[in-house]
Amino acid sequence: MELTFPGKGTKDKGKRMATISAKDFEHTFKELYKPLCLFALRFTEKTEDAEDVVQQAFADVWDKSCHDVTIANLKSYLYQAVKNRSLTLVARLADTEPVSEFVADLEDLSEEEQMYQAERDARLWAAIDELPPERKKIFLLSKRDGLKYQEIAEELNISVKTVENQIGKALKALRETAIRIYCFFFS
Amino acid sequence: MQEPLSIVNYQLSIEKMNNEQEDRWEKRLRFVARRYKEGSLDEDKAWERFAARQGIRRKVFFRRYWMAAASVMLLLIGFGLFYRMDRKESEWVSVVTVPGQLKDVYLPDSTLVSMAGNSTLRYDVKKYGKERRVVEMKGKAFFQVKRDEARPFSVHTTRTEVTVLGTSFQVNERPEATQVDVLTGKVRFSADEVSEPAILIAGMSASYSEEKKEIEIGTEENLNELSWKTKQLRFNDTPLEQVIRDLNEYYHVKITNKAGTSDARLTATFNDLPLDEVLLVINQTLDVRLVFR
Repeated sequence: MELTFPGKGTKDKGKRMATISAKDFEHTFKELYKPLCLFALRFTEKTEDAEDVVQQAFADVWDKSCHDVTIANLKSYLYQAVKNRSLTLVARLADTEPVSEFVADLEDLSEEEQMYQAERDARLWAAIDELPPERKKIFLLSKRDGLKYQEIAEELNISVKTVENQIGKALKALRETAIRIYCFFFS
Repeated sequence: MQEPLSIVNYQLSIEKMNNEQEDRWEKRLRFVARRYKEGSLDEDKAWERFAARQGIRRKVFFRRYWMAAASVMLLLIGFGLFYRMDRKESEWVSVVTVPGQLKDVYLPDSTLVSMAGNSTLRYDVKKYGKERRVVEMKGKAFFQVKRDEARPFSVHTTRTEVTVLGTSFQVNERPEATQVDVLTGKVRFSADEVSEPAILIAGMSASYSEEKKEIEIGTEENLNELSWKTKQLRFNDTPLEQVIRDLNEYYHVKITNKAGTSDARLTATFNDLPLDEVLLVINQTLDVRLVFR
């Protein structure tokens, strides 16, 4: 993942947009968007904030590309930009909201590992997206909202057994995604 | 002693790794699940939003627009070239006369073509005069060709070709035969089915017969071959049958002799006279009774 823009003073100044077409940029954007958002979510609480931060980082890169600025390693640059912007945002909100508990998971990880972690988070997110609606609902009520199985059963008017069953299936599906990723990674 | 220990260590390390992985998995699951929000982090929606803000969509649109415009232009240029090439290949000018109509046509090199009625003349404007001067014709026409030895002048009929350098002559194409009468200069008369062309000089005539598939050089001069153009009918000891034929052709009528004597011969010249006056003169001179329908 290395996209370079022609630097200042290159001969083909008139064609500076030619080296990174809107189509190439779109491809990069879509490939990195979700991992970058999940990286931002390590620092920020709300998905809206994370998405804003990532959008701003991409806008900055696009703007630079329009002004002939070379970015040697676009991916690395974007991760750093997202981190900085997220920290700035968090610092502004620090008075009202507690610092994210998940930042701790990033400690002791190299830049490379942080990017890899973000990519796996993104795949897990996508795997949750793929769950059947009912199973997803039950899974999220449990893991996201912290409801007990009993509470979920009452809320949805189903048996505790069904809740257990659905969450078991959801976890299995998500873990399979994760295992597939490991296998892919180690092969 | 060493071996079992290392196995234990190995197992321990695997267990530790599994535990670590399990731990990391749990943490990841907790993190992603806690942050998860339905319909969020959609790359496609995000890109649409981004592109709309940055005006990229418009750029893409314009690029497509330009591509479309470019292809249309290419198509038009293609058609244009094709059309031009087509034009280069042939651009025919045709002149057609109705029966009884006489028409003078000047070709680009100022060669004069006098067309008799019911005739067609056509030539390719793009080619005419480039290397040769070629016209195609049907019917009857008299040519006064501008002299140009570098570019021979040719008249094509369905089966024959007359080539000249500069002269005046007449071509009369009829279904059964094509006749050439030379007034001045020299012409070459050839036919598709005849290997040897005939060279004709002033005063000569030749005819290609469709039936015989050969060129016959005219033995007796027909004084009235060009009368349609000269408006002059000349007879010099001409048999009455021939007189009737010439009058029929000149006036486009059908004349019959009601008096019977057919061995009479006529010597006379008529300058652009009406038919009834001509017949009156002939009837009185030869003591015949020619009538026309």
